[in-house]
Amino acid sequence: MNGRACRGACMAAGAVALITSIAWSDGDTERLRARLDPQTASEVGRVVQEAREAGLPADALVSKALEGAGKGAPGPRIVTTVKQYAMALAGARDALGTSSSSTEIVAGAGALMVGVPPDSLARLRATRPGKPLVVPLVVLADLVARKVPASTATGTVLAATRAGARDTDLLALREGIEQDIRAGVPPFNAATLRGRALAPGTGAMPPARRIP
Amino acid sequence: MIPDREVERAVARAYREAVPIRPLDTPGLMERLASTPAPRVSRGWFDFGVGPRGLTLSPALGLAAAVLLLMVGAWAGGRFVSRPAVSSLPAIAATGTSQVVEFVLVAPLAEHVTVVGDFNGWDPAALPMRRAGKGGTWSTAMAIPEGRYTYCYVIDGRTWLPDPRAPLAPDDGFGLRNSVLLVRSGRSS
Repeated sequence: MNGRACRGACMAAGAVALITSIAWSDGDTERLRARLDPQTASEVGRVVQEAREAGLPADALVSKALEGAGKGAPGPRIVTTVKQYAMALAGARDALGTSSSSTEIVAGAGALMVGVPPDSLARLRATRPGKPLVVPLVVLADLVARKVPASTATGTVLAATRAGARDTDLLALREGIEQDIRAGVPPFNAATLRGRALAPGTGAMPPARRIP
Repeated sequence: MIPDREVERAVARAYREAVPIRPLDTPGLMERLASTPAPRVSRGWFDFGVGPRGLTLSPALGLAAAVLLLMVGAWAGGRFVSRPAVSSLPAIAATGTSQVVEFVLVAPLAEHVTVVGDFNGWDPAALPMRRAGKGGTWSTAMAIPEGRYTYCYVIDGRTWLPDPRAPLAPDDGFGLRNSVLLVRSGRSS
């Protein structure tokens, strides 16, 4: 390919990207204006545009704003929540790496927002280089949301992934811990006992029992 | 010195001896006490509310009260909790990377149930559920592209209910909780 053709291809690609961005922006603006008051829609739109320019999954921010509208939240609350979410998305992208998928970044933001420290996300990425992290991140966020201490939840998920646990194993782990917690087992104990079942060499353990 | 054994025997003997009871020199005292009414203690409304008291119920009335309490509990439980459950199906009709996901909720006393989430713009009117039979089971299905979504149910337009069987999402920023739906190739969870 000569230089002229290369320049033409670059210009065409740039034009396509610009048109796509404008089309997305217009779509977002329409969706926001349809559900939010003008001032809230404008402020949220600005956050969304900045996130898109930063390469973050901005659709998640639009969805968060629409969620706030659906739940009847006041405009300022929606703006604040969207800004916090944007910061979480940026933090997740930094922790997981720029090559992470949009879904991974969204799942990572969920983990950060529930209290998982950013370095846990980076360690999780290191255990599964080049493989999807969505399920481990969702499981991690779920455990912390169920009052499992963040360090314990991180250790449990990290140990399981290091042991080669598949996504289905991690989802089964989550369900088991959830059942134990519902049965009255303290979250820390439930996560620790169930996590050992996925660790190498320990074999399967029975479900944890209620501690009197 | 008296041996300990002797002392113990002496003490035991003393304890075993009958004690002479001197008759009361006030004849009719017990009868007078029995016929005297107990003094009335003035109880305020506070004492009436918090003081312990016995409640006499006939078996039939107790049974009726128990049945009434059970009915109230079932009504409240069905109205606000109602054993929600979600079941995800394998792809019924995969279109590209989308999977058809079925949402199922058991809410016997609900009059209207919808599913809202990232996949339908959180529009309560976008995905109404249909009641299946008389069992209070509501269901609906939707083709959803692969990805991670947050969602919840809206019962009668006012109760936002996360799916307790699904992974929890963090606080939504608006004071409520959502559930997480993962749609992956070949399955959802």
